[in-house]
Amino acid sequence: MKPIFNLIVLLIIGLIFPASAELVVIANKDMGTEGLTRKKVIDIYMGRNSVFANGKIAIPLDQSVDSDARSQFYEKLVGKNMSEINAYWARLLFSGRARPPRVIKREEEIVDTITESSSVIGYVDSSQLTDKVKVIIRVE
Amino acid sequence: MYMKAFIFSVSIAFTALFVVTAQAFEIDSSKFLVNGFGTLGLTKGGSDRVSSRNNVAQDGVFDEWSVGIDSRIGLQLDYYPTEKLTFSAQFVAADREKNSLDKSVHSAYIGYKITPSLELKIGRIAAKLLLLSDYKHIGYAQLWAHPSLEFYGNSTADYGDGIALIYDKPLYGGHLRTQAWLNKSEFSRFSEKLRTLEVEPSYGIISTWENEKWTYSFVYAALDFNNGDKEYLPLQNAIRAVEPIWPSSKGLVDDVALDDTTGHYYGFAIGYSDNDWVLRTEFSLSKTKSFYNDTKNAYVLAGRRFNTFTPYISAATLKNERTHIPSYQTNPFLPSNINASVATLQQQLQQYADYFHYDQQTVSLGIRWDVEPKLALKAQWDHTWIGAYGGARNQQREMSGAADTVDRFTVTMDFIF
Repeated sequence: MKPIFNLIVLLIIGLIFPASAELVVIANKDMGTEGLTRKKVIDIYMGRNSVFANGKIAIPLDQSVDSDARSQFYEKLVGKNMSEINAYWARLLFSGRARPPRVIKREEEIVDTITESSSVIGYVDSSQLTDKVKVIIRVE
Repeated sequence: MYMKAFIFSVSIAFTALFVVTAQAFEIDSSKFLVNGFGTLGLTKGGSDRVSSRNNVAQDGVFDEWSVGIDSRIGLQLDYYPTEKLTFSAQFVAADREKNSLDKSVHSAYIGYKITPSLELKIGRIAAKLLLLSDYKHIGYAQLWAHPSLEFYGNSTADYGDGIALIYDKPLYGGHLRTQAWLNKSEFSRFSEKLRTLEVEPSYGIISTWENEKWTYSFVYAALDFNNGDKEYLPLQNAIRAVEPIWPSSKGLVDDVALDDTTGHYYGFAIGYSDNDWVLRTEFSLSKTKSFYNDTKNAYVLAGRRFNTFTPYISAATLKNERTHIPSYQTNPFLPSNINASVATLQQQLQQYADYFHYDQQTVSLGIRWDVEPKLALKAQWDHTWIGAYGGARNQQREMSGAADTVDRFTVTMDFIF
């Protein structure tokens, strides 16, 4: 009887506290990350300033429009929901002010793209980390 | 004819969409962006005498329902061959009294980043006179169902053909973005019918500082008006002819023409936005040597977010001084028909001057509902007070020396794709 009871307790705990994925912003391991603070990441993803300290233009990668990771990322990074983010980017895009982050649908592909380029940053679940990329910030 | 131009514009835009999308699959889809926006709006507004509309280039509605006033669809094509180079074009099909494919092209430019912080744009560029002016057609990007007629219904075109230099720099924890431009544009005004004036050159500078929550913006622009119609010439000739017997009319010769003269425009804006509140206010002053005199307008807007709902309230004002044409004292030594002609001219000039007079205030209540991440529904009620002869921004079937009020109800569905 006791094992069944323990199983039920674990199931309830699992339902109440689901395993929360940790999102990390990553870059190529060869990229100089000086000055890449949380504020700088916000500036890059919000189209305000996309120039690295070395003068290169940063290229941010986004996840697909309907993904949970994308909603969580913006909610945790700037405290805005997807409607607010879409309205914000509509303003920037249609006034010709900034180009929205490039969308890549699969996390593995984001990691591959960053592995191949030193001017690209992206966000993925921490379980996707490899030794070819490095973490800039943890999105908490 | 207008509907034909409307459909033609939409057809062209979607043909371009098809062609570019097809090409994008062949080349590199990351370098092509095809985005769009639209608003489906239903409006009931105006009275028998005064119309409701969003700007002077629209044919307003007189106490009737309309799907044209607040409906539009737009398409933007962007191509980024390199990190420094941008090709962009935006087409907007909307209700305009004079419609054409040319007026549907809101932007078509080449952008080049000289340095990461400095960009040069050449071509047709959206006008940037006010906070929202370069995206006022994007209903989804705004809180209200339609921008204020008092503030955003002004007469300058939505775009200019020329160059713009844009400088972007981090400053005091935020970012400063400064745009200077030199272009050729248009200016619409109504006197008996819609008239379009050339504005060449138009030049100015706008500087905006913003951080996560706050936005501050200053703008100055100079506009050189050139009136190709010269419809004022008969009035000018008549004034010159009667000057000897009506001396007080002398100063009107220059004021009657909005031609070969420079207007000066000054604007200031403050915005605040966080997870709970959206607050914004703007003020502007226009100075021209014409019957417009000094025109001042302003608005305040406040919205409170409750999850997916945001109720809001705004108040707007638009005012300039009414030009009083000097009265004509009958001269007993002149024949009666001469006296009658001069008196008639005085009345005609007063009516003409009243086409330039603004005196109105509007209070608006509305609510925005974010149904989905790319779809919003809005409802708004506007109540407008118009002073005597002060409804020039609205379309009027006849001038009125009495104060008036007009109501407007708008429901919109705004989306992006």
